[in-house]
Amino acid sequence: MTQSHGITELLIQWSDGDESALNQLMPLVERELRRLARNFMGKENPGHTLQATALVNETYLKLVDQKRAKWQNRAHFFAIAAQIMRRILLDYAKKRHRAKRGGQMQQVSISERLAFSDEKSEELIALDEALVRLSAVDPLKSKIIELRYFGGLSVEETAEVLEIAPITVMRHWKLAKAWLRCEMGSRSPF
Amino acid sequence: MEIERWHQIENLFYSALEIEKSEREQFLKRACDGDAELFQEVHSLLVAHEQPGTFVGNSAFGLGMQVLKDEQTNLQRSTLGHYKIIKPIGSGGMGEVFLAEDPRLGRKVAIKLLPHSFLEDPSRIYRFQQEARAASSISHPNIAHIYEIGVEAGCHFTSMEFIDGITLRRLMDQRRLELQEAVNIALQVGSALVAAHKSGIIHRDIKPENIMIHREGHIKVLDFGLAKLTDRISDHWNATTIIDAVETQPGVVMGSPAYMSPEQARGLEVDARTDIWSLGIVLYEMVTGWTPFHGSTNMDVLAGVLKEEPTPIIEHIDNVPPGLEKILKKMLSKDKDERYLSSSDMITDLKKLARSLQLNSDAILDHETRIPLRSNIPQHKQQTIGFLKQWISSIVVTPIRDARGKKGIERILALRNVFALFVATVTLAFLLNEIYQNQAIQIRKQKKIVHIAIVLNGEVYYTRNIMQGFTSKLDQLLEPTPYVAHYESTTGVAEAKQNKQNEAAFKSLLAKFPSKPDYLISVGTQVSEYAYQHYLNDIPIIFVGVTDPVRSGLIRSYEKDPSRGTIAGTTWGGSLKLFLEFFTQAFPGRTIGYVYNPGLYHQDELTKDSLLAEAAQIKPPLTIIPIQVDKPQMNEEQQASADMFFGGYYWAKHFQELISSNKKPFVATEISNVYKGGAIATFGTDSIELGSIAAERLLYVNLMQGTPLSDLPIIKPEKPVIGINLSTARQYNISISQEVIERADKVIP
Repeated sequence: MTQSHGITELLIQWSDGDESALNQLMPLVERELRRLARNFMGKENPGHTLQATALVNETYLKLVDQKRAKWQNRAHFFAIAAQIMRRILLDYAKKRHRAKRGGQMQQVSISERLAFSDEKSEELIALDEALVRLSAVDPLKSKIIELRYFGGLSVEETAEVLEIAPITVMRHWKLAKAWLRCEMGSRSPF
Repeated sequence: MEIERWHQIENLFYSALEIEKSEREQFLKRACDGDAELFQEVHSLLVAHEQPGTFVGNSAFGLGMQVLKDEQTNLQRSTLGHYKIIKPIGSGGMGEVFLAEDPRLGRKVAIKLLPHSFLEDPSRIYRFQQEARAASSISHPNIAHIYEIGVEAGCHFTSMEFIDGITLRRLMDQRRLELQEAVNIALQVGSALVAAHKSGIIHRDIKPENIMIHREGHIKVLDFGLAKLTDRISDHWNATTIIDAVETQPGVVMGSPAYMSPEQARGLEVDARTDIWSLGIVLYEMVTGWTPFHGSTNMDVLAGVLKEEPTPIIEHIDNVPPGLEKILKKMLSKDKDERYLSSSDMITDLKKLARSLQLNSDAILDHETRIPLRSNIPQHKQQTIGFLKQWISSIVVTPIRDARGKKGIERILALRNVFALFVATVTLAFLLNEIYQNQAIQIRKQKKIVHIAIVLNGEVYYTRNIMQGFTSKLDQLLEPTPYVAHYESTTGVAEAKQNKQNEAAFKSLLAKFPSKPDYLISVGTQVSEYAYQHYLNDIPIIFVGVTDPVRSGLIRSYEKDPSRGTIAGTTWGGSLKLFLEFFTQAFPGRTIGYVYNPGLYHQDELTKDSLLAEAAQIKPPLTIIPIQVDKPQMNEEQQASADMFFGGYYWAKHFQELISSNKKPFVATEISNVYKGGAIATFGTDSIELGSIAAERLLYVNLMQGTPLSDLPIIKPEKPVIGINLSTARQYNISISQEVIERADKVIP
């Protein structure tokens, strides 16, 4: 199919080290996520991560030409999804934060408030700031948190994306988690 | 924090983890060697590490999906960029359209969200943007202006001039156009084409849906520059893949086959002359009421586009002005080199024609000749007819003239699809009867027969989602007009829903079966809801008459497990026997339970008794338990229509003849219905010969009196509604003789 062509090709290029492919991939993957959110997140419990990642997986399988893609490409796809999710969540949290400060909470609908508490907004903003600080000294750990927290990737998948052993992922994960707990106190999601 | 410091912390942290918990503090103190800050940092990290974790696969991904979803649903009531979305005003293959306000300029705009599926390919997006920008530079009174092409929240959109009016499609649905109007519209569209073609913009998708008639009367062509989006053809498509895509991906807009030029259909490079062709088709349709190439499948349509010559318009209308036929021939030449060289040449001829029709063509182009938008049909009927026609012409009914000259069998009906057929027939037929024959009761009282036979086909099964959307939309459309109420009270659906006692009665009667039946037959919509509960409990049930919720339930169950072979039909009265007979043959030796509601047959005691008698004769014997459901309260009018409704009983005799006249086994079932003098009958048979007889009978047997149709007083309905459609004929292996068609055509105005 023509549609799988672009994404497959770009994923392969990116995993082969062509960084410019990522810029082209981002909007494509974002669009897929949005479409997915609209089409499939309707009736079921939408906040359910397992379901959501399963759907992204299905989307990946549908979008990408399996004959040509390498097995790591799937993880790369998820890595992009994680990056996009981080940005989307942060934008949203900031918007909520501003709305609250500006006394415009009535503009946020009830369903939105249920799904996304004020605490969650604060937490996401704090987490993002902490991750930015962390990445200045240890970008790998920051990346691992991003993949796992924002992308819902498992340890193994994270290892695939970063091309390191799962045990190494666990090792970094331990410290990163402890550090975030110290940095964020009770607001840490970990 | 310094990187070096961090590495120090990191090393200490991991080293400490290697050590027994109780000894870690000692180790750290030694290792930090008086650096209290370092000790404090690593120590806190170790403490934090030991805290019970809260992260158990609990990522924010799902939350992100929720946010994305909310953002998109909020679009419908909020903003897109600086635009304030007012309301959705429609959606098509090219995406959803919203009415919005541009607060900066204080004007209303139409915002079109481009569907994601068209934007897979970044180079396509680029080409689209290029062309849309070029189109936005055209300024012409007959072209809906594109204001902006943008991206917002990952959504590509265009904002364009909001046209307060209706599409040409809707206008044609509402009423037949005058010849002058048709030429006027063609001229204005043509004038838009001239302007666009001069700027190098080809529309590629000229069709009545893209032509708007402004409230003021002038014409605006929509979507210039957008067709590039859907124009996959010129890349790497050929005729086979186009047909394939059209057939398998109904959501994919490939241009509408009926308006596609031959070069488009072949997947060849197109130029401005493709628009001339498409406008030719639109003109032909405006004048005759039909597109020149039609068929029951897209493939048929495309085959016509490529190979057939359009029927001369003289065969459709009288008093064809000289020149019109010639212009159409030139617009619709299969070889583009024989078409008008340019849209301006075409305009010249159209203007000449307009003059000969005493249309002041200059005035037309000054938009002074207005197309009246209102006809005298009441609003709610206009909507309904428009809506029905939309479905009927596109998916359901092909009028009988389409069957002319086309014979042959493509598919053998799968018996399991039967219930879906019924769904279509009943729902649509009721409505069509209502719309076209709202005088039916009076007519009935005058002992006149109205000939309406609508046969819908099993393809509806494949488009069941559409069908479900259709019925629910119909309800919305018709409420609170009396039609729905009438419909419901006739069939008793409303009453059944309210009457809990029925359920209890059903249950207690079921308990009277000597043993659990292998099959149960549920007759009557009123009992179907309760029967359905038992169907879910694994008793196979043949449904004869179902309510809407049961119908959709059956469809769902069937989809899950086709082997259950659910059969549902509406075999009121006489044909029930055939239904049962068929079933006992198909599943010999099985016990069949028979649940029916004699209340349904209250109009005719004979019916009830003979039904029971007939059922009793069936071997092996059936267990028969009548279930008395409360009779719906009816007023006189409803009573009269119910009377007619159940008149289907009289079919039994004719069917018997039909079967005995032919030795071949009657394999599938018959579904018939009679409502307000209209008959709906669909036949299933494995034999062409039998099918032919059935088809003839369908048209010529007088349902109420048993006399040939041709001998009856004929009341011409306003619109042609008699017909067997070609697909149905194919589906049921019915070949229709030329004679039948000709005779039927006489009935059709």
